[in-house]
Amino acid sequence: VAPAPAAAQLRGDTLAAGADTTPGTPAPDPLLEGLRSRYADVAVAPHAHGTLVGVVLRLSPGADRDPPGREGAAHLLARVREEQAEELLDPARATLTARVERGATVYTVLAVPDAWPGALATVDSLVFESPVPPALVERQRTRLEEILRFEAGSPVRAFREEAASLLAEAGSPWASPVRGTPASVGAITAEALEAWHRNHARRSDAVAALAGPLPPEVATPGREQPAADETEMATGGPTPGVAWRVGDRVALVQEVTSGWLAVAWPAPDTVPRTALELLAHLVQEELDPVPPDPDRYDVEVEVLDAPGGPVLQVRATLLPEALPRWEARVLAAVAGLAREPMDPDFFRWRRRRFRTHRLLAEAAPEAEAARMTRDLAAQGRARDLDRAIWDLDPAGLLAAVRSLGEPRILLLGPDLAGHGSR
Amino acid sequence: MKAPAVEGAPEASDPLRPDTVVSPPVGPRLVLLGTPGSGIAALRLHVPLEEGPAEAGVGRLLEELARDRMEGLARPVGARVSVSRTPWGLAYAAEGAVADVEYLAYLLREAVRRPEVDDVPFSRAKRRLAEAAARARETPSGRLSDRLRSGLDPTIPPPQGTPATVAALDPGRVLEAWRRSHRSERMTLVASAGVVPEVILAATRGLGTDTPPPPPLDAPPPTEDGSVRVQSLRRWYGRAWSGGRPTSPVGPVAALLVAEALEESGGGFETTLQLRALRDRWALLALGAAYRADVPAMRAAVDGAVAGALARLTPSGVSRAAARVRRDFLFRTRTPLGLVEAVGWAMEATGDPSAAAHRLAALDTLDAAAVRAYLEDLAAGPPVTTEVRP
Repeated sequence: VAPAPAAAQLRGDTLAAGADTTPGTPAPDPLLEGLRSRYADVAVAPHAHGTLVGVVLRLSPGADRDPPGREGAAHLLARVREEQAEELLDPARATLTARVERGATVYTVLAVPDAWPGALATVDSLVFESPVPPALVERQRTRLEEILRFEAGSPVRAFREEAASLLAEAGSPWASPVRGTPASVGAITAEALEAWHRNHARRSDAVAALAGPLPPEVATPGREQPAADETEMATGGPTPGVAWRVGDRVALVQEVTSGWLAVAWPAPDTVPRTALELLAHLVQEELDPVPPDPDRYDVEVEVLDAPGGPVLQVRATLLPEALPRWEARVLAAVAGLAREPMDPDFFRWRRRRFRTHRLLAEAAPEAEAARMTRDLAAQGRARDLDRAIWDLDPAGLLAAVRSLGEPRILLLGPDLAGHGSR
Repeated sequence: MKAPAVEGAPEASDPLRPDTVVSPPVGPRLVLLGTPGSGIAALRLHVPLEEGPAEAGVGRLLEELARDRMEGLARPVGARVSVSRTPWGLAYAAEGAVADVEYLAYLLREAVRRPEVDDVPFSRAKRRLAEAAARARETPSGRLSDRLRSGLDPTIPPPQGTPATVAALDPGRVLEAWRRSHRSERMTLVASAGVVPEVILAATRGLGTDTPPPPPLDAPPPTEDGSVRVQSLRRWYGRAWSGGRPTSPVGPVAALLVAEALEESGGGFETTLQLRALRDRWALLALGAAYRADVPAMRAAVDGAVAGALARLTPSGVSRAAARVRRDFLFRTRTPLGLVEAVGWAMEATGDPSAAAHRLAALDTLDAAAVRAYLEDLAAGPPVTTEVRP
């Protein structure tokens, strides 16, 4: 990687000279000013203590921009960047991991407190400026092809891809396999990856977030993102966006020994994100109590960002004969919450559990920073999560669940009825 | 009532050093750390416990009983709890929202209260422990590890007990061990909670029991049925080395280098290296398994693991291993729970609330000469070996 002029700016060397030094005005932190001048948006969660700072860069193009026939390009590039970073970063002080989603590429730096500016400068230069080394492309492509060939025919993989296609319009590149297929990955050349990098790796499409033990000046009052009212944040344009308006039900037959179920509901993008996350939490607890249903192997409920808007999705791996019962059970769980407002005392207790669950999920600095970048990308501001959770009430929850549109349902399993078993 | 003694004034913002250490006359000793993360509290309570030969496994049994109680109570508020047997005793931990810190303290109070020994949970916990003891005796790797550990320090009973000692763990014996150990004045609480010490002090006062402790149990261990043979198709062989204080980073760094040497020597056989903390030192256990034709090579690889690490020792190799140990340590301590676990563990070993910080600092200055000296000391120690034949 060539020496990056960006690095000096990221360290604040150039911007510090022009800082506002008016008496009584908090001096802008050059580090943050440097970041804000480079990326579309930046959020910071400074903590007084901690051993590592988590810095997350989120680029809006993900697997959805892979060229047709070369699906897996973004994922392959992320692997190459990780390997390059191993050579550039001191592993005792900073590490980089990269993850590609359908609509985003997420680079995560974990660094000791005094090393994050330098590590971020290195990663910034790597992600946005460094050419793609053909030898690394070759090596990483071979590895990825081996993994994909090993997974070929896996029903789990088939289910994931089919469940994703539920959430987008037919033929949408958003639903194409994030890691590609053996054939599509085999077709990715170093030149194609270089072209992908030139076309899509832009700082203006990136948002950044930092969490952890940051210098006191970063935490200067007034320098943080203003706490945002969630309703205001969630309000998009004059017409609410929604992922789809007409539901669907698809049953796929495969000769497998498990059953898979996905049920997804679209929510208008005007619904506060935290209310949807509480809803996902409640549905998860309803479907997966302790002790768990003996017919289920795994149940996961989450809020996803589909191309048209947010979606509440339930995915379950089950005994095949339990598929019909579980389909009804999942639909009933959501319908039950839409019937009437929750009793206030009961609601407060559930909200308390949800709050703990969310706080613990963000105990690691990189997890908190990742959530903030997702907030920035989806809503334009990072939530003050604690406040957003305390602001939830039974009426808001009811409004959120009643706002859900028609579900799209996918069932994948063996044809038990054809053998006289179902 | 005597006022609590405050041992340490607030220090610089080194996250591994306590902000405050308070020793109330009635215990538990309180070590307060800063709070990484947003709105999360983590508490870890250490209870020293030494088992007599006749009660081997009692710590694990208390662990099982406490876990059942804690998990049931933690669920309603969404808190996370854990219990672990350490070389020095039992550690109970609870993690949740700062707003629930008093409830987290209540979870610890429930964890260390008198165990229910006359009902179904006791039988269930005892059965789980008996299964673990049987597994350790019946599997080649379990058998090797146990023999190597007792070869290094015959005074320490196997933590999971033996089938005979577990069978003899009746309610009276378990309660005696609890009364002897779970005393507030012997406990240490490490907290990363974002609240003033008074809140934690009030919430944790009078944990455990205050009845006079029974005398230590010095009964001999029950007779074991020695006729159990391990069935295996391959020959298993193990060798152990020990040295270096458990808070010193030289053990984990050396273990990485020995593991690399062991892997390099591999051929048609399987090898693993385990790093374990004994009460007063690190232990490195190298295990191998091979079919008949490869047994000589496997034994040579296991026996030569430390010598192999010495032969290939380089300053850059030591730096790389130290960097990895440092990274793993910082990674583990980046959350409130990881922080109290690391600080509490190091403190158990030494009694020093800053032991974890010292360990990290020592890692920064660890050089190839120190690692070489450590490996040479290991190699010069008396050989501890054992094997399981098909």
